[in-house]
Amino acid sequence: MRSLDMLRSMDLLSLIVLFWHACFLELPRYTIGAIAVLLTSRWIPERRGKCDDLSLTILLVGHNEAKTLRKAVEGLAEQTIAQKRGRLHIIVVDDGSTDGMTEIARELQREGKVAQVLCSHQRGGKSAGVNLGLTACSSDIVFNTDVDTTFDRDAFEIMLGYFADPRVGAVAGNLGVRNPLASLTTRHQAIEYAIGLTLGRSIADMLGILSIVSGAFGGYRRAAIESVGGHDVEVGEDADVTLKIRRAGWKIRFAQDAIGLTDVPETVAALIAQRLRWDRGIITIWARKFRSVFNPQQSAFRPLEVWAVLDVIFYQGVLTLAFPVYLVWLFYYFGDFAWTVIAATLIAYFLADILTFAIAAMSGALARPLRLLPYIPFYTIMQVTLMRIVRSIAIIQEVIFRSSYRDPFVPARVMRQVERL
Amino acid sequence: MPTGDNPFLMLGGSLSIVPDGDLLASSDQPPLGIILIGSVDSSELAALVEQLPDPAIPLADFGNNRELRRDFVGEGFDGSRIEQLKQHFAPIWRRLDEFPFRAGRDDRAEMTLLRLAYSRETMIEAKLAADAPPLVEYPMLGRSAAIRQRLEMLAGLDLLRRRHFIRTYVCGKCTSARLNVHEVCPACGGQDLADEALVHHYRCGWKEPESHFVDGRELVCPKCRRELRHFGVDYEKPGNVSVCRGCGAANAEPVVQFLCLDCAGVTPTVDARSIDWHHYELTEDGLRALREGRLPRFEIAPLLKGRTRAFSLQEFRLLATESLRISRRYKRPFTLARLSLANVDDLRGELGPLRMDLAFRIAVDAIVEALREADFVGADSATSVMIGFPETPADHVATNVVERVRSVIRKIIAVPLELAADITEGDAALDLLVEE
Repeated sequence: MRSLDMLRSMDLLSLIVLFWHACFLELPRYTIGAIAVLLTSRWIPERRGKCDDLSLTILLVGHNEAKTLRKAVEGLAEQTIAQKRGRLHIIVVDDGSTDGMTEIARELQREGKVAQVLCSHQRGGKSAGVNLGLTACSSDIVFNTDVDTTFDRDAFEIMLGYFADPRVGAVAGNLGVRNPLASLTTRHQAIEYAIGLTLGRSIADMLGILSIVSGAFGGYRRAAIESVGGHDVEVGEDADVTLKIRRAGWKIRFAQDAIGLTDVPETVAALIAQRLRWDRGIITIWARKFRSVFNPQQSAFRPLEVWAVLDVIFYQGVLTLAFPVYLVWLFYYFGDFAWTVIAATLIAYFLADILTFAIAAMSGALARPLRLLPYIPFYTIMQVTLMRIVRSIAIIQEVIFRSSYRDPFVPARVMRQVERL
Repeated sequence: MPTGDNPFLMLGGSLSIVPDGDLLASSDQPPLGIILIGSVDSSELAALVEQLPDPAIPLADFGNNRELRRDFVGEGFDGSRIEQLKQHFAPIWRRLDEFPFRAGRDDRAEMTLLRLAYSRETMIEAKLAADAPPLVEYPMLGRSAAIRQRLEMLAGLDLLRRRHFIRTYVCGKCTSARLNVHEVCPACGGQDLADEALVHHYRCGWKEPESHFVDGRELVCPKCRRELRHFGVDYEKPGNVSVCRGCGAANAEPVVQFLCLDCAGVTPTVDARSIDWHHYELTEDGLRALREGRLPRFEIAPLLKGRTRAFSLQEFRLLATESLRISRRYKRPFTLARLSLANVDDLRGELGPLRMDLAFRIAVDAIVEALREADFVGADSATSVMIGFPETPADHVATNVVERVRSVIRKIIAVPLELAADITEGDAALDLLVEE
């Protein structure tokens, strides 16, 4: 009670000083952004247009996806764009599978459901697979999707509409969780995808700093992706190619209504493994590979690119590493009172999460959001504790050990050569 | 080999079209070939060939006689073609000259097939013939309803070797194989059917053909009115159904029927009889049968034909009934026996058709020779006979007659042919007769 009284007795400036981490680093990002999205959404002009003359190809690149390939192709046939155009042009790339994926693909090709099947007998990684698929594409737009991602029936039609603007080089689809009720971990991720992905990318899109088109569901203008030489071999190859396209002067858009669903890890261990990989990739791509965007001497220097990269570095890196500093500062100066501050911070985060989740849910991208509402406290705690620890470890691993260069996502033999060169 | 310039018999046209009159086969010498210079009726040709000493002589067709067997097909016959035909037929004549054609009257048609197969030195090949109701023909043999049956009989005797060609299905009404397969609605019999995906809405469990869900460009559940947005999450397509555009009925599978193109009869596929067509090759046993001029038949009835005291089964029954009546009246013994060659099929596989045929004939001879003047016999199946023994008790028949026949079989043919005997005396014989 004494702690609460103490809090109550503080003036606004003292409170801001006490909660500096939350006030300056955490809360502004999504809370202010979400409110801005909510308020401005009505005034943002329609970005989609008619694209009947644009041809499209869907690239399905996979490794050992024999079990899911048929379902994926049959799901694509359900797309409204497929029904409108008669048939989708699908290219399957088997990246060195050993489970008979090529045979399934060829079977689908015989059935007329797949236009082309390409196969590399040795696994070369996602980037190499997409690049191989690109060589077979002659359409205006290329969609790159994971084999295990499924889509709303109108997802591709919506995505295609954004390419009516000839300045748009890539469009990111909106990804949701297909298995939200499988476990507590998946519920957490369903909320995280809604806030971090649906809302976060909407904010980035509004500000013009969207810097990732997910490899699980993205569309590219072929001229744009070919102009930057396709994918490089990276753990976060999707972020890499997006930044390259941005730097080449193309616009990146987020199609909030184009929804794809993917299964997320059901256990904490699997979630940690996935996030370590993702976060390590982020450091490599944004901090290591694209630091040249900060160089004003470069001909491609543009403030928006600086902001885009800074946004990621700041919120993914600085903010994560600042939190332990803040905790140390709290306990050093306030002793046990720090627990009250932390509790108050958590409550503030919780309220902010409810707000942002509500705004994200209002977009309509989330199916039955109310059933996730009771789990927001759990989400808040997970984000502040586990996810932040995981990200810190990933940053340290990557900065010190360059761990992403040993990630099995890219075959070791390929990564060795990349590193050597 | 043919000699002279006139080995051919011409059919189907006026002789005046042949510039050289001596091209006709001389009347005292049988022709070595037949030239069809115009349209010839198959029965006319069959009647002619029936009279020839060798029914397998080669045949050249210049009259578009598609239904007849043909060794050479040409157009516009003139005398200059004779030399060409002679050269073409020379290998056939060489083979025919190797041994003369011999066949009993009953076996003539089958032996002709074997001789054709041998002299043409090739397989009897089946081919698709769209203009023939069975859909398959044997160009070497011509088109005839009985040909397949004869070939199958010869194959059954191991004289020809089968190689599967095609399976046809035939109309239940006219047996034509020229059928059109069509699907019909089980409800109304209509043929205006469309395949449609079945949609299963997970949330409310509704399952119907896709067209019932279509609402503009969206899919909306007809039960709960919710939109189905995401394949695999909101809904699935567990399969297809056949929807009748006539009556709207949806069925898992339409009924499949055959429509006969010849008689317009409809046969459900489940009721349609199938016929397997084969190519045939002459076997070693077939060649041996051809050389010996007889077919192994394994039937007792033809072997009893013409023998004294051998009767048809009907006559045998009358005689046996009368003998029984006399035996009852005068209290005299009368025995009725059924003798069967029990393991013919097993031994045929072991010994081959010709060796077994010989053993069979000897066994039948031994049975007939064991009979006395008063005994009478009738064949009651392919491999068994009924014998009536007037004035003879059953034990005498068992010890004297049956054992003697068995001993003869053992001695002469040295083949383990089993002779089964069912012997009854007096009124008990009536049971055997009635059973028969």
